[in-house]
Amino acid sequence: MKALFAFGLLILIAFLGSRFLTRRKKLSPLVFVFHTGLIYLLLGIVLGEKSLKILSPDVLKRLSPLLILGLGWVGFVFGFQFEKKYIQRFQRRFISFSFLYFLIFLLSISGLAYVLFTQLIGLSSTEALSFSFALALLFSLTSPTVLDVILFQVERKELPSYLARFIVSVTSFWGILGLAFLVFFSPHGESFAVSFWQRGSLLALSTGLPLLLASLFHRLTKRKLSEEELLLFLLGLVFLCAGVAESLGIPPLYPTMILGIAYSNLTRKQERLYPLLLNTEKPMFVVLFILVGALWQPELSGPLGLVIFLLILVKFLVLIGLVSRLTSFLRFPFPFSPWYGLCFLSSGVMGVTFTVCVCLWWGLSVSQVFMSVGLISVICLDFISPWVVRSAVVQNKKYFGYLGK
Amino acid sequence: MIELIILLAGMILWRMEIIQAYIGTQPSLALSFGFILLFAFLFGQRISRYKLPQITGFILAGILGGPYLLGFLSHADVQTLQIFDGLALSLIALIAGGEMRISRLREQLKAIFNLVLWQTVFIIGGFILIGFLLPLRVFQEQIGYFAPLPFFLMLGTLATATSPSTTIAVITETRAKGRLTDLILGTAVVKDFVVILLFAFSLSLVKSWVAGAGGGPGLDWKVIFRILEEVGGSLLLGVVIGGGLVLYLKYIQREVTVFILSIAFFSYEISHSLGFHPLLICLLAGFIVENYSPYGTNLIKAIEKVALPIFVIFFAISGASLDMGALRKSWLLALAIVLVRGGLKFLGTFSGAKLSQADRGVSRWGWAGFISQAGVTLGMAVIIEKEIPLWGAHLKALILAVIALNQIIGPILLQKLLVKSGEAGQKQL
Repeated sequence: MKALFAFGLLILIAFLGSRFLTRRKKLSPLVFVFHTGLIYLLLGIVLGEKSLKILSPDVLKRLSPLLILGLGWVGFVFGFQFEKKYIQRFQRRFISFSFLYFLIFLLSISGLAYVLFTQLIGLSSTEALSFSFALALLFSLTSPTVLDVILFQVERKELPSYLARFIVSVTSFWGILGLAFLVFFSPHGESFAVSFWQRGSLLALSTGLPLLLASLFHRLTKRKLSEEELLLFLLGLVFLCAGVAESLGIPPLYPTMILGIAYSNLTRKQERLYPLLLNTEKPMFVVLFILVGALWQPELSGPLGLVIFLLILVKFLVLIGLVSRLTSFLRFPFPFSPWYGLCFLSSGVMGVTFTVCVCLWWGLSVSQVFMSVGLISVICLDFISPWVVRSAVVQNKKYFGYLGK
Repeated sequence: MIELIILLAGMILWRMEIIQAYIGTQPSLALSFGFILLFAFLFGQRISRYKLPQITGFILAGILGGPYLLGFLSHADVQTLQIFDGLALSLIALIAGGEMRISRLREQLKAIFNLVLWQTVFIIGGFILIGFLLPLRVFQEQIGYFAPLPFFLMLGTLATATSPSTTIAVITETRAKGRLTDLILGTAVVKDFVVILLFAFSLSLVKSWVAGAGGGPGLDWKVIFRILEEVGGSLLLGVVIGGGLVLYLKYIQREVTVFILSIAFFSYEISHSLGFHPLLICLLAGFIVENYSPYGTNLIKAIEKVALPIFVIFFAISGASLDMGALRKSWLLALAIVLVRGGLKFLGTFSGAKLSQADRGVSRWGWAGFISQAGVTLGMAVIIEKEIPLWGAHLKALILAVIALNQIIGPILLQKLLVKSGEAGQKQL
């Protein structure tokens, strides 16, 4: 009880802190730490077993449905934006861009990470292969939170900004899809204990069941509903879908994303649902981040620090070198400066969720190394994102100047 | 209906051994939670088509999916999910406080006082009388050895209680507003605290009686002072939280729902750790916001945004935790107690209403608003089991069975009463 009391109290403090700090116009990393919610991750670490021991393993076990719900909610909200009508507004070359972007990250980061994990950390080649593949997927993820705030604050509403916002918000799709393949076909995690065909049926089940749930959800929400009833159905379905994933021993991110995609294409209530999702995501993310922080037992040795540094450096180089080349290769209707790639730097909530999903699936005891590399990278990238993304947006002024608002 | 069947069939299929063995599933609390949330809500909606309160549907769904029947929720799941009890109780109390206007309560003060007094006198007195008059040997096998007076004093005290949370939930669901609604709500809340105080007195009396030390009954003043301290502390904390809420609603105004959820969680946990009464704290906090600031409506609106899922899970879990084993074992005796309690409630309400010159409807049908029983009674039964080992466990088993019956019929009777009085649906959306 003491633990839960402290938990509630800290949420309250963090919440009030975020209320006051995010009101400032100044673009400081501290303000952004509240915007992206990473402060709650740090709070979770403080409350966790390694520091204050308030959120003990026993309390965390009791709060596990909230963790699963939080992970599922991220997947659902992410999937919900894939409404056919919205996606069709953008030319195919933009989708190809996001896929090629993902592919380049997959190859470059997984190659480097494999070498670093085997040479510096001393992992076996099978372990290093899965770790580096998962890490490459993680580095390919993008989050629009920081970009949104920057674009709002510097008041850039041109088409390229809108386009960058679109690409940043959909690119993670490939990473989550990659996670599904990693779960079912890599020699780690619980699903590996069963045969190839059984794993195949698991993959089919984790794709088919959300589709069924989405049609059930659609049936339930077809009639006239109050906002409260809609929220109840949303919570129930996401819980159910994430619970099915937990029951199958797979990360909830993939099936809930499928649920979100399927439902957004079945329903006609998007306009009512978007505000509801936006209102609900803040408390959901706060709780999720605190729980993730408490689950994490940070480990940082010299070699691990070097691995993180090199991976971040490669991400920078790929972003600077890749984006403008890719845009000219795909014949985008306007030029992008090399710096504009840095708009894709932050992975925010999606990065944290992805890392935790992988770790829960691998089993926490074996994956604390991955969790440390993943979360430290996400925190570092998100911490520097405000400056970097702002510079990238401002640098592009001369490129966008001629387009006007 | 089809959705309900799909959900139920899907869950049964998912839990089939052959499927579990093939795909290698493991228990998931999130899955059980999602299922019970949807199942209870759909069941409640279905039930409401037969003009029954949704809350009864939530409770019945909890019983059906709980550990005693279909087993979708295990005992451990129920225990873990009771983490939402505190949150729900606090929100319910905030709503109740936010619905109470001093001006309306002042008019009803005399009636509330009389109803509480005469219900208490009739029920406790009635049960003690029954203890002396009835040939109780018939029930000895079920409730073990007991001395009639202490046993029936405790039974009568527990029977006096009404569940304010269920009362508030039915009033919220039926959107009832009016004199009778205020009277029932006010009486249920005031009686809750009278019962807590009475329970403390009765328990200390009975404990010394049963122990036989000193040759006769006596009062444990330490216990009495502790109770008074708890009530005083709760009132103080309620004022502080109410003041905090007013300040937040006045100066910050953003993300009110999230803030209230945090406050509800926080106040429940702090009250738990200090031994205070969360219901009293939040009731007073809501009361202060409603009566000493212009933000009462904002408070209620913000809570109502998130209240539904929390209420559904609260009542479904309370249904799942009802001890069907105890009910099966002693249903006949429990039914007899429920009927006697109902009769005594009628006499108490009738007398109280006549003395305070309340409407004819209150004296004839008001009793139907005070039948439901839940958390507080259960908590007191658990304390009796611990404090009076001689027959506490027997009394607890019996009380669990009585609660199960009262919690099923109580919301139905209250809803019928509110509809009959014409006050259901009077609250503006």
